[in-house]
Amino acid sequence: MVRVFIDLSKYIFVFLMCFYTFMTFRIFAVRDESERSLKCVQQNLIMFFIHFVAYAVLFVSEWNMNYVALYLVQALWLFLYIVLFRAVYKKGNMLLLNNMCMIMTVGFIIITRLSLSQGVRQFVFIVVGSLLTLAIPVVMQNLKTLRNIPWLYGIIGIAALMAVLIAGELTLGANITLQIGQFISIQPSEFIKIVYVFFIASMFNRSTSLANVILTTILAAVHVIILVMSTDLGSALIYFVVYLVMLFVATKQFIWVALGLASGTGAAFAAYKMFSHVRVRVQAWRDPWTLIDNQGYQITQSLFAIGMGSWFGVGLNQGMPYKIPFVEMDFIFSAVCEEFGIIFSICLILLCMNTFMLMMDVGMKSRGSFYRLLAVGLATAYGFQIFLTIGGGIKFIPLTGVTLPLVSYGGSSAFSTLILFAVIQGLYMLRMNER
Amino acid sequence: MAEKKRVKNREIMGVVYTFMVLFLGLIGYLVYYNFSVKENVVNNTYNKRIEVMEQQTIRGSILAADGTVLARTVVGADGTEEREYPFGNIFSHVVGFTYKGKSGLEKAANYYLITSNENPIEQVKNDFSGDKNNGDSVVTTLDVDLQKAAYTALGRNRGAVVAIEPSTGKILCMVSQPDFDPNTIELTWDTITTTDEFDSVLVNRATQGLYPPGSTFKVFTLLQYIRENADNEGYNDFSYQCAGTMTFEGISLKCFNGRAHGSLDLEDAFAESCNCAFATIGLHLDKDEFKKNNEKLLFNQELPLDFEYNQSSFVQTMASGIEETMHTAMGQGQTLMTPIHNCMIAAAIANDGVLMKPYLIDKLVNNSGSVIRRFGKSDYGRLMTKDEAALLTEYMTAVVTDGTGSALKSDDYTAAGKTGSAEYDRTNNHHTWFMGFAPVEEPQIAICVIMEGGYSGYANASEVAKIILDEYLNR
Repeated sequence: MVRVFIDLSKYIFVFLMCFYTFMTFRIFAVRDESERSLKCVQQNLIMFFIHFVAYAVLFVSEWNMNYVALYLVQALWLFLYIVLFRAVYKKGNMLLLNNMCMIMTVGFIIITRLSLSQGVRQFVFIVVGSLLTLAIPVVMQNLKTLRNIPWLYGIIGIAALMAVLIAGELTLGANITLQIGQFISIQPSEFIKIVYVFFIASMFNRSTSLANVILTTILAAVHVIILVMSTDLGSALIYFVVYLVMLFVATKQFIWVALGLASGTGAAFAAYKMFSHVRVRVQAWRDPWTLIDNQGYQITQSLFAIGMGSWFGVGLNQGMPYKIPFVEMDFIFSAVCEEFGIIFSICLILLCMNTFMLMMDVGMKSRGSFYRLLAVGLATAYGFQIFLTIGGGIKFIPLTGVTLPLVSYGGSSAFSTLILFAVIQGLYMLRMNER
Repeated sequence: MAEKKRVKNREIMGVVYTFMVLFLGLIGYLVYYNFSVKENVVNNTYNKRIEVMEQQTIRGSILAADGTVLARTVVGADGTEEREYPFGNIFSHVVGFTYKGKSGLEKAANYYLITSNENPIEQVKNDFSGDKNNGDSVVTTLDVDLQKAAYTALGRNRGAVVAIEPSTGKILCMVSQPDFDPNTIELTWDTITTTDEFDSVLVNRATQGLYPPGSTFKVFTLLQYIRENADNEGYNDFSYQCAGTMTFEGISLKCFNGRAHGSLDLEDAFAESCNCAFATIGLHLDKDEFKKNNEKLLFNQELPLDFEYNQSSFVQTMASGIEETMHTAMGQGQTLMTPIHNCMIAAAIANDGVLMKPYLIDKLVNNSGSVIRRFGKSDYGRLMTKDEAALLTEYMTAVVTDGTGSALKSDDYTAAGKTGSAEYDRTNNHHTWFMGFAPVEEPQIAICVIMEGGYSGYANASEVAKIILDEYLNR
């Protein structure tokens, strides 16, 4: 009986997710605000239903009351958060809010499925993070000096990244996280990403003269080089692409992009020649099968997971996603593929794509180059990170080891993504207020 | 105003479109992966999920082309499952076993056998009753009567037989000796894997056995010579006076049994398998080109096969000395070849130069017999021109009508091929080979037989090949 319910739930998930994704793209095209608002409420109902069925599956297959408790708290919180946000920010972007909550819900389910204790921790991160970031749109609307302090952003960014690099050198450990006390370890590159976008936006807001472009390029390159030295290749790549896109939008000169891509390719080639850890990643991508015991282990386990999942998945809690090392961080998408199936996962990609488009849309409609660049830069950081992590996990591109925003486990990743969404909401409201 | 706005946003739109392409690329790759790559990927011992699937499904059967059961799982009254192989030793290597890491088709088709495409209502019923689902069955291309004939003809001699339908690539039979009984593999495992006298019984010699190709390699030397002397059919001007032995710069070699073949043109030299003539040809070949062409003929290459095999190797280079060059041209030297590779070459010659990818799995059927998936033939590519294939066919026909392959003469059909004997030590022991196809006019079967040295009963591989061709073509 339990078996039948689980089998059936697979198809319920796929159907609901397809319907949800379809609605997302429909709402994207609807211009009438009240109709949008109504459809968004319908979407919320689907989200709550998916969340309910998923926890029901987890409960009946594990028979542990803790899942019921976590479900009730999560559902209540999701409800309150959406109500609160809508009440406080009547002019907020409801579709963006919904996409964020839906992607977050998928994250809640899959992380709790992997580990109940991590599920609880992640939930706490997100509750705290989203309540704190609720203040960001207010700040954005009132603090007009945000565009006038590029040097502050630059100094904070470079100093923080340098601190990680030096701390990493000292402890000979991983160069990505900064340990504070015994329990807190943060990944500054996640937060500095946002500061960095503010830095570039405010620099280009001043002027796009050749001198200023060169100066900005040098400072942006310093960020990227520090990240490469910290072996945080994924972040380095994101920073690089974000800069290229912002430069292009600010100057409208395609020649810059071409130059940037050329030098980027040259730098990538040099990195390949110079650093063995870069070569290893490329090798593991080209032929993981001969390296299956070592560097190819993660990616081959990920491919097994996706292949076994096939179109409809093996069913929640029925697969072995835990066979992939670090599945809860870099390979969370493969876990979703295995248990929810490829159709569901494609919907997830489409939801992320839609979110990216919403962010870009905010950029297009924002007034003033600072706000435009801010939205474009953050959207690029968000979109490109998704491309890197999913592409790496399915062996479309070499692995770079970045997280899937709001789905992967991890406080830094979740918190910085919540800030990113809040800033975009703030930009959206700024525009709405001008109307 | 609208005009201005559009211009303003052109760059952002460009970025959006670029990213949409990236996202759609991800989706496209996922779909492609699940459609065409996945099945070869997930069937891997590192994939622990497979073990769970195996426990949840009753393993499907392996069937011959006509539906005869080659392997099946019998479920006892108490629910115990036992794998049964009705033909015992006859299909031992090609069908394989499920014990300790699996082998043969049991390994190659594992994922299909444990995947259930039973009808959904049945599956739901099974879910309620707690019964296992039935895995799909694999229908192979194997011909039971031909396999039996090959098995009997080879007898207890060590060696291998493999036959392919040239126009499709269907593998018709595959025998390797010594053999084992998969029904009792668990009991005999320790003995056969540790005792020398059993001589690597688990190795499928047809696909994994690496042997010096002996005179069958003259097909490659001949093709190279023809290619290098194609202008005005210059190869027709070849002539050689064979005295039974030859010496070149202090290196001597002789023809089989020291027989003097006398005055020969190229066709005679090939039909009579004259070592002296081919060693001389070898000295004049362009070594780089020879290596390059042999690699196009699948030496030192991955073979287009979906099951375990070894790569054939051809190592002669510009640096090789005269002795090695002469020996290589006649099939000795360091060249090593698997029987299935030799059979694929025969099949390509028979199919006007085009190699069809050899395959064992024809289709998958579910528990109630509905076809789930057909595999069918696929074209690997052209190994030689149609004219070259026709010329090789002509020469290989002469081998049977006027040369060393006279054992293949038949009143009922015409055959083409090449015999070989390969010395493997200094005591004059040799393996014998036959590779070829029949009927010449419209080839239906390509075959390769290897018998390791020290055989008894039939004189050589050609006679074994004759029995198998008779069975296939005279039924």
